[in-house]
Amino acid sequence: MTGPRSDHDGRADVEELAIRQAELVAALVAGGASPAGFDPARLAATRRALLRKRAGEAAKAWPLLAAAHGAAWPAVFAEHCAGRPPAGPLRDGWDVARALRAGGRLPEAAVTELAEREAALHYDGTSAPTPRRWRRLRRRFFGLRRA
Amino acid sequence: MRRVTVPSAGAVPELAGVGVGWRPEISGWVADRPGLRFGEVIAESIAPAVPPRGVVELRERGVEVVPHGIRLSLGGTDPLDPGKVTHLAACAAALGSPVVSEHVAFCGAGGLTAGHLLPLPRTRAALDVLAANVRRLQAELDVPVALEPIASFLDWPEDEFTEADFLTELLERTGALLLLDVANVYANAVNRGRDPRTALDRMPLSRIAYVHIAGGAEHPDDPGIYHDTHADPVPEPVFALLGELVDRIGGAPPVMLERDGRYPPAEVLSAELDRIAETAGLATPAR
Amino acid sequence: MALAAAGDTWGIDGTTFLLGYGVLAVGVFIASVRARRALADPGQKHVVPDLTGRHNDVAYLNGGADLAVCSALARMRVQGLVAAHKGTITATGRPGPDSDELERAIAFATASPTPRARLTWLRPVRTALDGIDRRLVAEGLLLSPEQRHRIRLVGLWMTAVAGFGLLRLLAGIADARPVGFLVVALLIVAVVAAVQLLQAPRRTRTGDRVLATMREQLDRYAPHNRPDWALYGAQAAALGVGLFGAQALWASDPAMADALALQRLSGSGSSGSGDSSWSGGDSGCGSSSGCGG
Repeated sequence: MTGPRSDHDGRADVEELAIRQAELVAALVAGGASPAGFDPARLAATRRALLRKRAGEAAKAWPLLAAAHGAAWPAVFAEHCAGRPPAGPLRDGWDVARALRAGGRLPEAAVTELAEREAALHYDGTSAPTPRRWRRLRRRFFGLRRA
Repeated sequence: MRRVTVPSAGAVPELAGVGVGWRPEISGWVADRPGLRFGEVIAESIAPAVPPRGVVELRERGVEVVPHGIRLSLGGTDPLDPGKVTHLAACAAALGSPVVSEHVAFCGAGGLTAGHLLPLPRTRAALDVLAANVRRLQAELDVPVALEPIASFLDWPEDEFTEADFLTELLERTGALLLLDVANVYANAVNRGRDPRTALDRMPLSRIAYVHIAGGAEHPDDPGIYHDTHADPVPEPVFALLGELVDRIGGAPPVMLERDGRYPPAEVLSAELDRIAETAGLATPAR
Repeated sequence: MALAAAGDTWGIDGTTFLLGYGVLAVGVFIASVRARRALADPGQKHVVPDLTGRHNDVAYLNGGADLAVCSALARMRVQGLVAAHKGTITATGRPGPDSDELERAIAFATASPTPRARLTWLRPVRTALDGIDRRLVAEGLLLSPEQRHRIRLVGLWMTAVAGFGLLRLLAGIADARPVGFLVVALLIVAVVAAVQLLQAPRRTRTGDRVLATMREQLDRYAPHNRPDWALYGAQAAALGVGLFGAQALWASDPAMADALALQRLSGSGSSGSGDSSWSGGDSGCGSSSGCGG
């Protein structure tokens, strides 16, 4: 089915394809080096388009944060998330909100939004947020067992 | 290995007329739209056990609903996620769909997801990967699968095929159908300074299951690049290209509008859908 | 426990009395719930009106004055007739010929910036709201103050049961008999009586049905769909708020909900937000039925 070539060749080609795909994705969303042979301007435009799409999705998860920035939201989002792999709209927006808060630039409407999220969920900045209630229960459970 | 029967053109007789991409935000407008013949749901957004009410109501009205996968990453070198394959098949079964669709693209690699559909290099290796994944998908499905070439303005240096040849080869190898997005054909051509009509000529038009059309625009940050946004009106040249397609296939294909955001008032969207029907040579719904 | 003895209060032993008292209380309670329901259902003398074009009336029916104002504001804001910032509303345009009395009153009242929470107390707005109230009562969707009074009076039945229990309690204490279980039973009956005396539904059963039917038919505007008001239009936005409460706006247009300073329905806090306190005709009876079991 793979044509006249031997299986070994096909497999090597697929391995090469995997490497090239990984290079491209890393260059587009994770600040990786531009892979050889691509038009740098088109790469940059693709990178921006992906960021705009992520910004739009984060705006749905963080409506007040996004609304407070109005038309500047995609730029604010890009400023923080460019070069960072997508972590899903909830975490992407959360990272932006925390970065803004650290810089003292978190808009007032978003202060409440961030506070509500942080009250409901525990987010360590690197893995999926977990409900705080579970953590409290777990701590109590393990705490009791230890005692 | 499962024997793939190669269907002939127009292999999805249940699909006809004008359709629309069903989104919860506009479900009321979709429900009120007279004469709607088919629709499409984003497979990843629904639970097959409890499809959204609006979708169920469409089915009750006899409107066909096609599950449209967006995250299967058929062109990815990572193994297909069996859960996503099963999900797509379950959606088709739950909705009694005559066909399912996915993209000729990949969504991530090396442990990273891009968050969007990315173009593949048009090489033998990519064809091998795609064909193997499509066959794996087909093995789980009771209905045909239609593959949609994506819009992209990024070219791989290793491209060996033209887009049309690549697609023809893929469809021949797998027996899959074509989901042709005229807006993608337009975007891919104009972003490379080519004539979209020529691009259309070379496409395997006899394999069309149904047709997408959508709006787009240039973004101020990227002058000279047409973005297929699904959040802008369908531009004139894309309507014109739909007309060209109808001329080439000598009949009205099932055609549906994809709109994902920045919705206009209902009358405007209805007028756009009327215009699509008219351009495709389909009667504007009277019911 | 105790055999009938010469010392039993009224010649009935405690266990027998408690059983009988329980049967009486439950029987009267069931009768009272049915009576309250019947009083909230004035029957089919009214033609059920179509409220689709009357979004502010729907909101008033569902959540009272506050929600009616929210619904009017939602429509006006989609039309660009008011600006809102942190709950302070300022009129920015003239209401069109299709606006209703409430919207005109709000436009008038917000000629200078006004906090949303105060709007319901301003005279023109109040007048418009009273008009809606009268209209809904006349159509048999809302209960009139007299009807609600009559419903509350049904609470006297349980009050009588409580009074009877109290007599026995006093007699028991006088005879120095154990009264612990009776005290518990009496407390339960008294609480039920108090709730019934204080609470009456706002809506008639017809009103409840009209709302339920509309919610069912207009599911497209429900929060879980995140309806797009630019597509559906201002009227639909108002209807969505009216039918599904302020959370409809939080789900579909949080920026607007935030600007209008609408209350959010979070798990614990049921204070304030219009519709949780209006959760319907049966709530008074429903919650007290928990005491019977």
